[in-house]
Amino acid sequence: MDSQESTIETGDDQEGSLGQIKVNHTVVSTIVKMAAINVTGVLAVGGNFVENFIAQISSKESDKGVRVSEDEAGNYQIEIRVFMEYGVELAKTAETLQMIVAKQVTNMTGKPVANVDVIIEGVKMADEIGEEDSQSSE
Amino acid sequence: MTELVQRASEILDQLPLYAIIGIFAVFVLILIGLGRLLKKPPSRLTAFSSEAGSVLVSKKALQELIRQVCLRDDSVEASRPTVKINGAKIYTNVDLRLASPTNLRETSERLQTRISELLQKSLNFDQIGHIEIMVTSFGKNDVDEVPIAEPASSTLQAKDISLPSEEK
Repeated sequence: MDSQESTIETGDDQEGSLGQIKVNHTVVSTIVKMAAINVTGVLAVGGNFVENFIAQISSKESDKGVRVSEDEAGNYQIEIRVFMEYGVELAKTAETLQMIVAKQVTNMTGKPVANVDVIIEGVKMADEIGEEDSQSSE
Repeated sequence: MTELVQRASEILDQLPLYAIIGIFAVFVLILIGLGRLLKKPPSRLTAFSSEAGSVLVSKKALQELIRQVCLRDDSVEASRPTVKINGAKIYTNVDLRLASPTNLRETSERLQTRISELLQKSLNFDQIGHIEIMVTSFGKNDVDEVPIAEPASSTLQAKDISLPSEEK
């Protein structure tokens, strides 16, 4: 990640620019995460053990499983690691995920998304995730 | 700082040589382990790429998928799949524990078909290599029922499946 913030161009008033709006990549990754978990077939967002550990010690919980960067044109490049539900068509679900994430990020930030790379880290039964959540909350 | 170094060297002087070598060896092993853990590139397979981005599947996800497919079969008690990725091709080995030693060939062929269907349909993989099914044991309750006349049937290596995409 080159820079943690991206600038969104705003409309100019008569005297010039109204100012810049900066969106931190952490905000974008939160948007990505929230959009992803609402996709049917996606159970959780997260990387492997090492990545999650690094994310936890760096106190960037919202970055866990999501990487946001920008290309030369300033468009977002997103990488997301997900756990999917056993039984769903993974390729179709991943395609839907790419579409929804790109749409949601563009809608909320006003910046285009160049690509969304989906990494399927694991496949789980829906109740497995429920059990893990209840264990972690205890 | 210098005091610390002095104390450390004093402690080291008091330690016998084999203890120093042991500590050094443990330290090197930890370093190697950490290096492997952090530097090892995760093995993933690209399911497809488009303008919207690419979709990759981790080896672990593939193994879990195959394991679940096998466990859905009534005759399978436990399964341990191993996936090898060579280039863009997937090679699968599955160790199975079956509930009973009946219809080994039929069971393994059925599983081969299901696994290849899964990889093709669910993930759009067309580069599917060998799918080897190895029956390693039977359920504890049925161990005594293994026919004595067929000792070799406890390990069956099913033939490779030729997929339509490979024939093209």
